[in-house]
Amino acid sequence: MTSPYGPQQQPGPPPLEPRPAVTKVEERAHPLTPLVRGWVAVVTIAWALLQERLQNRHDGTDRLPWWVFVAVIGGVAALGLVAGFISWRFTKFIADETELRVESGWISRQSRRISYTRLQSVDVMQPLAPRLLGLAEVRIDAGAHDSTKLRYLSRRRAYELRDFLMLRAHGAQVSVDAAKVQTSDPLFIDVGRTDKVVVTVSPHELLLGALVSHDLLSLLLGFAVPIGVAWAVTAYAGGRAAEALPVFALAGGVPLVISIGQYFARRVMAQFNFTLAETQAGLRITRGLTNLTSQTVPVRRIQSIRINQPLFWRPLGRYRVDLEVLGLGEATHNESTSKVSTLLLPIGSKAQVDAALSAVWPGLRLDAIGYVQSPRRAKVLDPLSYSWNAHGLDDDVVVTRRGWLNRLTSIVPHARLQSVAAHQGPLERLLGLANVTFHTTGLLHTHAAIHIDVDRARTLVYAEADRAMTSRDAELLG
Amino acid sequence: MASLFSPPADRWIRISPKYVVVRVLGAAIANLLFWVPVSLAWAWVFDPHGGDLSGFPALVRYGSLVQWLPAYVGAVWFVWRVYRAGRYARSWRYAERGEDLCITRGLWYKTLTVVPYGRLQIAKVDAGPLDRLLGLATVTLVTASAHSNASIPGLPAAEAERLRDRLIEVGDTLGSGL
Repeated sequence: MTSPYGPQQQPGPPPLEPRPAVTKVEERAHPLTPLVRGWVAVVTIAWALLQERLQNRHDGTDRLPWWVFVAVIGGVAALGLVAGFISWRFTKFIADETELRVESGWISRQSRRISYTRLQSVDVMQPLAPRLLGLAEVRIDAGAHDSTKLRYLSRRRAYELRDFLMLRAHGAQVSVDAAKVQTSDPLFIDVGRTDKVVVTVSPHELLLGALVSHDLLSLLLGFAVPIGVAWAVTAYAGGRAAEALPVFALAGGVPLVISIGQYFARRVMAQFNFTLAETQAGLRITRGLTNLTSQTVPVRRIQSIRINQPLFWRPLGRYRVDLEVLGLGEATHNESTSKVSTLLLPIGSKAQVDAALSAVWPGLRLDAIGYVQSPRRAKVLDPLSYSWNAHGLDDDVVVTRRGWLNRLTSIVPHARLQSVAAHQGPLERLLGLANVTFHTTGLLHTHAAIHIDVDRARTLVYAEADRAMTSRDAELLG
Repeated sequence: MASLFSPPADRWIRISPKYVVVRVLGAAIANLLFWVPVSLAWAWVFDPHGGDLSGFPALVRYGSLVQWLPAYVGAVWFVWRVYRAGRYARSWRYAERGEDLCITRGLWYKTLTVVPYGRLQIAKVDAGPLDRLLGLATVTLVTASAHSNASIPGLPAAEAERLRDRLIEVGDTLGSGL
């Protein structure tokens, strides 16, 4: 760990003249930060105590006077404020032309300096409480470590910092002031002056997608079936079904309402105002109703794209698109409110999917790809997905389609392939079929051409291995 | 007819026949560590003389069969492993093809993995105690993808080191990993 106070050694050729001793501008987070960070703890404690109180426990707590509770909550709040203040007082950051450095800690001090060129992404998060006060969190991802969080800055400063860092990450030698010019700080969506909006998803589209989905159906069935069975058993055994009904309805109903509420919060509120925009520094995804999240995805780090079409979305002609991004290891296909998401499009029509895809890889010509289906004898193995299963390739990408309940289309650029494999089980050997899988850096997705003819599989495996080495992604990135 | 798993270039390179010994001994050790304790525990629970089994159906009271069932399963599994060890070891083959390494393995579920040298990040050589006893080693190719899963067991130690060095050297001259 280099000392932040030592002499600044510049790598590379030495400057011609000694750098003038510039006084570094050290910044702190917004002074309201301790208030906001303490707020969450206070509400949590208050909620826990209130529940305790309401549950009417006869363990002595119900006899305590109300002021004890107020004192406990007040004490926690004061402690939180003090801790928040100390952490705020000792956290400083520097972002200027030469370095990005964050210093924090009171008892054990920490200083991290992040290389501009190795920045993976810079996200701006605005949870509800800070957002009400006009504050935002800046999350800086670099390396495999957990992200560096700067919280909270004023919204304007957060966007400024983000724009500056992302421009620097793309190698532009901009000064702090030049980057400021591009920044704007709109309240509801994050689109700068030079940005181009690619796709926006309207709230009723999100609602439609949430209503017509496997997830909601399985949620409802998951509650309805056990309750129905329990009620039927009671009715059969006791014969007093009419009296038992409200009890069961209440027992199942309350958790059901909570689950459905969470489900809609995740699917609709977190994705509210979903906007995909092209910026100078990559793709920007902005979303959220109460918690506004704005993340910037560097296009070069995208390893593969997957288009999903769940069964129920087929008649609606809607699709979902998700990404595999290098370095976003913890990010799954989750749609939670606070985590970084890898959704490129939560729901959209064919035209919107095409627009989103061409924003990522302008050179991609998905319609021009000639798909090859599996031979008819594969129908025995995939009676339901046979007509959809196919694979195809052009000079830049290999595309595979499979799945029945959820129709998948995986797009992997040859330049992003890590290795290729062919698999064959006993049944497939009998039918003269084989599977070919394409390995990328992502763990969650498997890209496979399934049940294709063995001779074709052999050709495909070796040809793909060759293309992986010869292809360059320059064409795709336009 | 060139089958899916026929050699990519002129021929496959087999691994050392001594790998059979590793497989057989490995099966024996797995038996000792897993099946022996499980069978003994089972036999103790289902002891027809000590335990009171009057409440169980008649089948259970045919003592010895049920009592020693896991032992039989373990023994059959062991014999099967030993019987297949030779063929399984022979199913591991590898070959260099231009700018990539091809590995094939498996009897029922056959796999052919092709790793371009340019994607190689780490090439490592592992040797467990059994391997070292026989002078063998495993070469593993690590790419940026966890799916790649490309390793060659049962190589003579010197050959393993030669292969490791060669892979890294060729990989260095070709392309980037990501």
